[in-house]
Amino acid sequence: MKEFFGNIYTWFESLFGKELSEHLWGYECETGTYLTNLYNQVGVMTLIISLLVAILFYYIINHPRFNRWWSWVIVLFINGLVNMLYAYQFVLSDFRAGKISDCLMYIRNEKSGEVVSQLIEEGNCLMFGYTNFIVATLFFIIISFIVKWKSPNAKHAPFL
Amino acid sequence: MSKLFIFGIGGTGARVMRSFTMLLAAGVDLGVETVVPVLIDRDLSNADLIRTKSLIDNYIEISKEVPKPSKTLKNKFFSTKIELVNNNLCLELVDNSQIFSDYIHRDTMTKANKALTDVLFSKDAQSMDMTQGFQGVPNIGSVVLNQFDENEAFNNFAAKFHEGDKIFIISSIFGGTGASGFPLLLKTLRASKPQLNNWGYINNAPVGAISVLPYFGVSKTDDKNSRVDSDTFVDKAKAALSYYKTLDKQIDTLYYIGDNVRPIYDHFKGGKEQQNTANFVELAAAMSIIDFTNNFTIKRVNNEIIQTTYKEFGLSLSDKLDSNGNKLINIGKDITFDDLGKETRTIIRNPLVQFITFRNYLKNVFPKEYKHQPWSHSYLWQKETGYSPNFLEQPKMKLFVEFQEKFYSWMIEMNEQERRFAPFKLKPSEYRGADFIRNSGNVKKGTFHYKHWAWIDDQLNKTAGKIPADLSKEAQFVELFYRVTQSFVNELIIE
Amino acid sequence: MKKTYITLFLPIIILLFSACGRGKSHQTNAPSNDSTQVAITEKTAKPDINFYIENSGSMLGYINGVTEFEQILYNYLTDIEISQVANSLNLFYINEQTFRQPYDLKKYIGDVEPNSFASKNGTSDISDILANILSVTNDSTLSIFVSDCIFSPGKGISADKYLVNQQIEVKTNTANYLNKNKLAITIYQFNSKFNGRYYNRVDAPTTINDVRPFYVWILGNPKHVAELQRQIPDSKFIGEGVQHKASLSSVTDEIKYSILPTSGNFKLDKINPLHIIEAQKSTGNRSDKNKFTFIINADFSPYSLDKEYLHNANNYTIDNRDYSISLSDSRQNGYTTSIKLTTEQLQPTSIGVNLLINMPQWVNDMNDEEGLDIMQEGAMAKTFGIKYLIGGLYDAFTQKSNIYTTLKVNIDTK
Repeated sequence: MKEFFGNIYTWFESLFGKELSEHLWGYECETGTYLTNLYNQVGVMTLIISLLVAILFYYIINHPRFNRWWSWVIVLFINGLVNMLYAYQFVLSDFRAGKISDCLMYIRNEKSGEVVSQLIEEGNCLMFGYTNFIVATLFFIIISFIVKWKSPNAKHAPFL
Repeated sequence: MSKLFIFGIGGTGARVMRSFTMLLAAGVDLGVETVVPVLIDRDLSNADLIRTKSLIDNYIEISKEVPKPSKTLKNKFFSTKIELVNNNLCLELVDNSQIFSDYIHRDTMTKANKALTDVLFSKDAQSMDMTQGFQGVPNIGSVVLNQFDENEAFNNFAAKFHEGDKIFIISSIFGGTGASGFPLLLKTLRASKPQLNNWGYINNAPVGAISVLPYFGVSKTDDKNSRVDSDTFVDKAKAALSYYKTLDKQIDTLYYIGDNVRPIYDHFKGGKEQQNTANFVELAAAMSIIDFTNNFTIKRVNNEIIQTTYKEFGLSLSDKLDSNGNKLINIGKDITFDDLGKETRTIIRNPLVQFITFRNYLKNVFPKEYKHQPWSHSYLWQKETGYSPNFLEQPKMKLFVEFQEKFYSWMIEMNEQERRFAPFKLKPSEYRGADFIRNSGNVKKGTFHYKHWAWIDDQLNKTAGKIPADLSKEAQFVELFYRVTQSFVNELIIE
Repeated sequence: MKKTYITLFLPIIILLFSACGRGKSHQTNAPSNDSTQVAITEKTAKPDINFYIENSGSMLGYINGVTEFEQILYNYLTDIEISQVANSLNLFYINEQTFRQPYDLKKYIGDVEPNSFASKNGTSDISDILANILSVTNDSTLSIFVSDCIFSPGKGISADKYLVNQQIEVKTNTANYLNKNKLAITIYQFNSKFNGRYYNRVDAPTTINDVRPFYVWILGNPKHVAELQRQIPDSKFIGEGVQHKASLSSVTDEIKYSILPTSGNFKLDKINPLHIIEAQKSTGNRSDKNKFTFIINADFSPYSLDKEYLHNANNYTIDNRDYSISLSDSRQNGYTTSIKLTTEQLQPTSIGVNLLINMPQWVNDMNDEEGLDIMQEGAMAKTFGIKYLIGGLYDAFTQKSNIYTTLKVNIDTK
């Protein structure tokens, strides 16, 4: 269960890179151990956001005119977008604050210690955002099918 | 289990009966469970009569399908039962002779009698074809209608009558059939007929009546055979009224109604073409029936009427403002719910709003929304269980929808009169969404979380699951809409 | 209705939160806290440092005039003082006896003159001196010993026999000490100008003015020895600096090592990150196609070994013949060495990489077997019998085991 979210995200690891993935697993080069599993933080937050968005759609908006399949798709998309931005900001702030462990971040010259190449760029953070778009979409679909049934006006979405 | 027997005499009787049926369909509280209408006309081809007959036939069919109010069911649409005497709405007068002189067997009269007849009835009158009624000639009508008590239908009527039942008579005072028929009918009901079952109950039954004073005119005609002339309506009414004085204490409540704003209808002697558009006066007259059943107070001693109650109808005109906010003089030619007296409004507003809402939804919204709303549409894999336009095409529902369209036409007709009863915006171009009740100040502001029809759909979706599933699909449908339209009117301000 | 849903989801959410919460605490607790505690005890218990310079006659050539010998030692002592690595710093000259010197670095070595340096001109037996120094070295006392490390058997003694005996003696002394104490020894070899008399193995003097090797030994508790070298790394020695280095340690504590998760086609077990899971051979067109590779970063600093040693594959063994090894400096802070292991025969296994205790090759290279003619080719840069001296130490340290440590890694394939 502890690795539940990480396992989901690593399905898409090739999108955002193994280095960023190891950072999110919580790898610390200094100790060679996994400390705080950031996948859990992102995953739980994404799950909560998706749940809230689903509840928003099915129970708060709950609109007889916004209950079409395309309404659901719009909300699905917005949820993906919100979670994408969230995840992008999440890793970008670590990236900018230098919280990513050195061995994951750089290849250094053996002798001088100078950076030879950088393994994680902002582009990887953006790709992780995209990944979270996909994951959030998966979550939203699953949550939709769990919460939709008691929605007065939108219980059929996305089928109608 | 009490019944109300309504006798509608002549064209006006049929038209008032039409309005009354509309009110029953909309679910107006009558205070009795069953209505037994009897339309009396010599003119059985009268289009007004045929229209009302077909309407009542529809009503009876629909009424069998809809849920009746109970502990678990709320529906009042079509909930008052309509029964017919011998399955026949119209009281047929025996003898099929169509020419008045034949009817009175003038040919077999002695010469003296013939002479007397010629004094009483003009030649034109004597040769009149009565197939089309008495064409506003009351003295002929009175002679023919005298045979009420000989009629077989009366036996059937008597057999149906039980203790506690009430009688109401609708007639016009300015025409032929009604003016003469009403006193005769009353006389018959009051007469002693010990040979008939239950006749004692009939003798003692509370009797109400409405006498409709002139409220329309007819255009001039070149047809010299026609005896219908609206110039004579007032004179005829005056003459009849002076005679009606003698009816005092023979009747419990007598209603009068009339209108000095009179639309001119095309001139027809009657028959297939005599189908006058609905008038607010007829609706008001129909409301007298409701007043009679709901507000009846006995003023009798030993079954003798000690005082007849006379009632008239009036409007309570509201202030009208022009676009600049200046007060306008309201001459009552554009009647909305605001212009009705409180009692009237209490009786008819909610039912009419509910019924027109139901109709407008099915007409304007249902075809677009049925696919999308949980209440009407099940999941893709359950297509057959939902409601669809196809469902409305099924015989029972089709009848219902047709009735709604008749109701709508009836509202349109009243809407287009010179004194118009126009509580609703009726043409789809005139309103947006569910905002079709005129004087929108009637709607509580901020009440509706969803705008317009979406609010109704929301209610339908929330209510659908609460409808008892053991009802037929049609009954569930009607019950659902009754409940939702009721929630809708409950959101309107009632003063 | 909404309420029921919230209550339905609450446990799931709580479960998720608590799961990651547990993860955190579990993972952060164990290793880091221990290491900080160790660091604290190390720092609080600074050793007394006894600094010994051999002052036998053969040493005088090193202090004649301005020499690297003086500069290196003076600088070293200054660094020890500045770095505050010592609780106290005591200065001695040593031959058959020890002579405590007043705490005056300048006088002690800075511009020491032959008169004051060799105040009592005794002879020196290296193994005796070593035994002497070891006898006062303990967990709170670290010894630094400076000498030319030339055996002096004297006349009429068989050199071969003498050297072997010396080696045995050194081994015995050291082994005895090791039986009771933890010990680390680091030997630096420096070069210095030498202007004076060189005594050969039969004590026949030759006056030379050339460059000669000398040695600085650090002996003490392994933690102190490592800490001293951490504070004053090899690079701090001035001049031409450290020529060679040999280190021995009886450290048995597990040293720090980890697998670089991005070094190959595999994942690490998150609880035990020394366990490779889902290992796969590389695909694609690179040179490592069809091979499985991973990198271990290890911190061998407790052993105070130099790069030359650590980068020599001969100093390692792998208990799995399928794997080949390649070594480089670690690119990561906190680690000394990057060990790249490669195989074409990937299967679930466990691997042990052993770092061997081998006497460095330079010791053999520095050894002058004859010790007679300093003017012989190559003899000037060599030390008579140094192989036997240091060899005795290695014999002592490898008595029980010839490996410093074993790095264990488990591999599971996908």
